[in-house]
Amino acid sequence: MSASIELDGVGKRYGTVTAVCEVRLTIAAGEFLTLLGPSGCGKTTLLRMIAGFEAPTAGRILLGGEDITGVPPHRRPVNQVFQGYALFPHLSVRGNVAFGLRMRGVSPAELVRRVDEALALVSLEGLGERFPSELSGGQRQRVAVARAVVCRPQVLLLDEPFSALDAKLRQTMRAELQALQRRLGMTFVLVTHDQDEALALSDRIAVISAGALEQVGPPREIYHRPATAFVADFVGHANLVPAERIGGSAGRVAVRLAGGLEAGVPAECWPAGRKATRAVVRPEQVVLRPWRGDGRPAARARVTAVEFRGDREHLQVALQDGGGLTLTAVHPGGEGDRADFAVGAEVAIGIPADHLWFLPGG
Amino acid sequence: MKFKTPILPGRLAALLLALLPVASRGAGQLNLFGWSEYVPQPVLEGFTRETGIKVNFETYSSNEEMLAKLVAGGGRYDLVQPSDYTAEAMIRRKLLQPLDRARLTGLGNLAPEFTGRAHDPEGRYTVPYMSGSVGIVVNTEKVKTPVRGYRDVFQAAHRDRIVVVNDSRELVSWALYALGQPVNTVDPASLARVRPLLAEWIKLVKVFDSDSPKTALLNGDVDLGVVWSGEAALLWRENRKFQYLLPAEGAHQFVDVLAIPAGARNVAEAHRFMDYILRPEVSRQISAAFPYTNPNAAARRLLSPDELANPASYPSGGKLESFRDIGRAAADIDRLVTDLKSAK
Amino acid sequence: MTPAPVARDPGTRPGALAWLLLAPLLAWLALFVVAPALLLLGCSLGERDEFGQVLWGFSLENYARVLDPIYLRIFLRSLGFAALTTGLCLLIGYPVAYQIARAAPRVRELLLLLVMVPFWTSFLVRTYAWMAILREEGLLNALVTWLQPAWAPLGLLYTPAAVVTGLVYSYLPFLILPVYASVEKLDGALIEAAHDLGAGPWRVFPAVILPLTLPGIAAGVTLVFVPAVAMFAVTDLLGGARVPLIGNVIQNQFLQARDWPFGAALGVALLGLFLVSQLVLRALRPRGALRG
Repeated sequence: MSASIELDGVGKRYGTVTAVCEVRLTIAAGEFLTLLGPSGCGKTTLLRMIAGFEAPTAGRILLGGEDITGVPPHRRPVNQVFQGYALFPHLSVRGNVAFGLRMRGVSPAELVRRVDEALALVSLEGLGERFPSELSGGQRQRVAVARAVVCRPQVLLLDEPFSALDAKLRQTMRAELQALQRRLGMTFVLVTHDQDEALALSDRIAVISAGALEQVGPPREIYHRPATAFVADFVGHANLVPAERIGGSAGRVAVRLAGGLEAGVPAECWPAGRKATRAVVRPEQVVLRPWRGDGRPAARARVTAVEFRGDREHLQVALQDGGGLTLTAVHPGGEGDRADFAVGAEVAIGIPADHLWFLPGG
Repeated sequence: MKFKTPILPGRLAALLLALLPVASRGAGQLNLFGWSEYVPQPVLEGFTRETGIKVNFETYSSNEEMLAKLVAGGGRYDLVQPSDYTAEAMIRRKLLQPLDRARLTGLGNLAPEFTGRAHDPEGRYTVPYMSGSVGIVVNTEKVKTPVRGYRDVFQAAHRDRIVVVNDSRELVSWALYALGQPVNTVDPASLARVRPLLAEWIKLVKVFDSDSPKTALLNGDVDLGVVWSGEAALLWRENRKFQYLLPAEGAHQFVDVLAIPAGARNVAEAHRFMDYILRPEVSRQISAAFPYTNPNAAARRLLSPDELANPASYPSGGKLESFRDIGRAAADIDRLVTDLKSAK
Repeated sequence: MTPAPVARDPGTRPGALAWLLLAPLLAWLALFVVAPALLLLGCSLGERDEFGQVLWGFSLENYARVLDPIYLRIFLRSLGFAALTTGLCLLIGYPVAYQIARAAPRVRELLLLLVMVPFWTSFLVRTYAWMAILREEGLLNALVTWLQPAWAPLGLLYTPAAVVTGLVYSYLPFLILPVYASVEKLDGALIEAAHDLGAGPWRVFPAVILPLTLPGIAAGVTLVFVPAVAMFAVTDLLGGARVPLIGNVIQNQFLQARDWPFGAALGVALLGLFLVSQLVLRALRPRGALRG
C-alpha cells in the first residue's frame, strides 16, 4: 500500500538559478515526513518533483525502489492535497472524490463504494451532493484529502494543507490528519513553513534552507539537537549564546557561557575538538528569579521587554556582563509575581547545564 | 499639395452644418434626396456657386427606401428622384405636387421621346433626370457564340458564368419577355407561367448583384450578364470587349425623374435646381460622370463622339418598355424568386 | 486562498442612488431595445397596402406565412450556415484563445492586439479584401496556378464555402475574446490536480478545462451564432446572393418587396428563436457535470 521514496541527488535549476541543490533523502514506507523551511527555500519545488509537475535537472527519484523520474504525474501512484485544495468547482463533493477513480476506469459499483468509504473516512457522509462553494474551509480540506486518498496512492503529498484555515480549525484538522495517517499507514510528505505543524505531526522533519537540506531527523532531535544555527532558530526560538570550553574531565566538559555562567556538560554535547562554539538555549530553559545577590550559579540581568502570551510571558532580558547579549526567556503568566518581572526589574538567570546543546558548526 | 492645406474655420463650419440633420427651413436652402452615385458633386457645387442656395444632399439606394423615408419624414425633402413607375404611384397617392412649368425654362431641351410618358402623361409632376435600360453585357473575348436575347444568355453552356442584377422584378420581367407575355401584368397566373423557366435560369446564375454587377465581369469571375446600362457603359469605357445589347425579346427602360414632394418647403429653390439640371452644359456633366442615357437633347449635342458611341449609353434598336406600378404583386414576385433561389 | 462562500441576501434592493446610476442604462435599453422590439412586433401584426405602406392592425397572417415551407427551409439553412460557422470558429478559435491565455504576459498582449487589429478597418472593406483573394484572377488562384497549374482556376468566390469563410473570418474574434477571458481565469492548480488524479493530457480537457471554460464558450457561441444567422452582407458579396439566407429575405422585404409587416414578422420569429435558445442554454447550464 505505501512505499518508500528515495531522492537520489535530486536537483533543480532554472537557468543559472538553483532552486534545489542535489538532495539525498530516503523516506521510509509509512513514514510521515515534513519538508520544513521558509517560503522560497525550494521545499515546494521538491514536492512538485516528487509529484511529477517539475522535472529534476539532476538526480533520480525512486518510489519503492523503482525509478519514476521520467514518469508523468498522471501515471505516478502519488496523490497530492493542494495548497488551497484545487477542488473542481464544477463538480460536487462526490464528483471531486470520484474523479481519480473515473480516470482509472474503476467499475461503477466499486466507485460508489470507495467514494462512500473515502467520505466516511473524512466524516463527510451526507455532504456528497454539495458543491465546493457550499462548503466551509475545513470541509474543503477534508474533500481534498478524501479525493487524494481514495485512489490509494503509495505516497500522499500535502502542500501547506492548513494554510487556508484559521488557527483554531488548524488544530482540529492537524489532529484528524495525523489520525488518518496512522490509520492508513500511508507515506505522507508534508510541505510547510510552520514549525509547530512540523513538530506536532511528523515522524521526521527535513529542514530546508536555500534549496539544501540542513538537517533531517525526528522532531525532538531537530528541536533539542539542531545541527545548524538556521535549524536552531527556525524551529522554535533559540538563544544562541557564545560558549567556550574551559576544561573538562571524565566524560564532562567545563564550559563558560557569555555572561559569566559556567557549567559542566556531558562530553557528547560538546563538538569534539572545538575550543568555542555557541550554545542553543531555548527560552523555556532559562530559569528566572528575582535578583537577590545570592551566590548561586546565576547571572545578573535586567528585563527590557515583556510580551504577554496568555498562559505565559516572553521576557527579553539583557545580561549585565554579557557584552550586550539579550536572551529571550519564558515565564509562567501568573499574577502574583508580576512586579518582580516587570520591565526594568533586575533578575537572576540560571541555565541548567544538562539541557545545553552546542552547535557542532559553531 | 492639397493634403497640406489647413481646413479653414469657415470650411469647417460648413462641414459641421452639412453634418447636421436636414432640418433647415430658411430660404436659400434645398433639401435634395437622391440616388447614391447619381448626382455629381461638381453639379451641386456649381448650383450653389451660382444661386447661393445651399444644397443639403441625402442619398438612398432604392425607390422603396426613398418612399419609406419620405412618408415618415414629412416635409423634410424638397426634391426627390424616383424612377418612373414609383413616380406614377406617388402621383396617384398625392405625394407629389404639380410643377410650375413657367419656371422651368429649359424644358424645351428635352428630347420628345422622354416627355409625356405614361407615368406622367402631361408632365405636370416630373422632369426627366437620366434614363437607362437593363440589357445584356457580353465579354466578347470569352463568349464566342452569338447572344441576342435572354434565352441566349441563360444557356447551360454559360452555367456559373452569368451575373444578373439582384432584383426580383427584373428577373421576372425577363422571363415574361422571353415567353412573350406583357411585363406589366403581374398576377398569380402570369407568375405561374414564368416559374418553370425562371427556375432553370436561376440555377445557371453565378452572381446576383445590384450594386456593382460590373465587378464580377471585370474580375473575370463571369463572362456575361443582364445588368443596368450605366454599369455596362462603364465596362465598355474600361474595355471594348464588353459589349452591351438590348435583348431581342424586349427590355426594361427606366427614366429617373426629379419631382417635388407634396409637403416641400423650399419649392422655389426646387424649381431652380430642376431648371439648372435642364441646362445642356450641366446635364452634360452628369453624363460624363454617370454614362446613362441622357434625355436632354441639347446636352447630347455637347457629348463627344466617343460618349455617343457607347452602346450601353445609347443602344440602337431594341424594344424598350417602361415598368408600371404593380402594387401588391411586388411581394408575390419576391416570394417566387426567394423560393426559386432556395430550391437550388 | 479560499473564496468564502458567497452569501446572498435576497432582501437587498438597489437604493435610490443605484437607480439613479442605472437610469442611463435603463433609458438606453428602453429607447433602443424595448421600443424597437415593440415597434417590430406591432408592425408584424399589420398589413401592407397597395403602395407598400404599413396598415396597423391585428392579424397573424404574416406569421402564418413565416411557417410556409419556403421560409422554414431558409430558416433551417440559415441556422445550418450559422451552426457551421460557429463550429468552425470554435474549432479554430478555442485553441488560439487557449494558447493566448497561457502565453507569457508580453506575448499575450501582442497576440490579443493581433486578434483585434481587424476591427480597425471596416467590415465591408475586409469582405471586399476576401473577394480580391478568392476571385478567379485573385491572390489564391495566382498561388494555385504557380504551385499546381492543373488545378487552376479554383472557383472559390460566390460559393457557399466562400460565405462560410467570410463568416468565420468576420466572427472569429467574437469567439476568441470571451474564451480567452475564461481560460485566463482558469486556475492552473485545477489542471495539475486533474493530472495528479490520473488524467492524461487528453482527458484533462473534457474533464476539467472544457467544463470550466463553458461560460466563455457559451458567450462566444452566442456572439457568433446570433449575428451569423441574420447576416446578409457576406452572403451577397461572397456568395453572389445565390442562396438566400434569412437575413437576405428580411432585407428584401424592407428594401424590395415593400412588405414591411412580413419582414417584421420574420424578424420577430428570429428574435423568438434566439430567446428560446437562450432559455434552453440557461436550463442546460451545468451545475455539476460529473456526479460520483
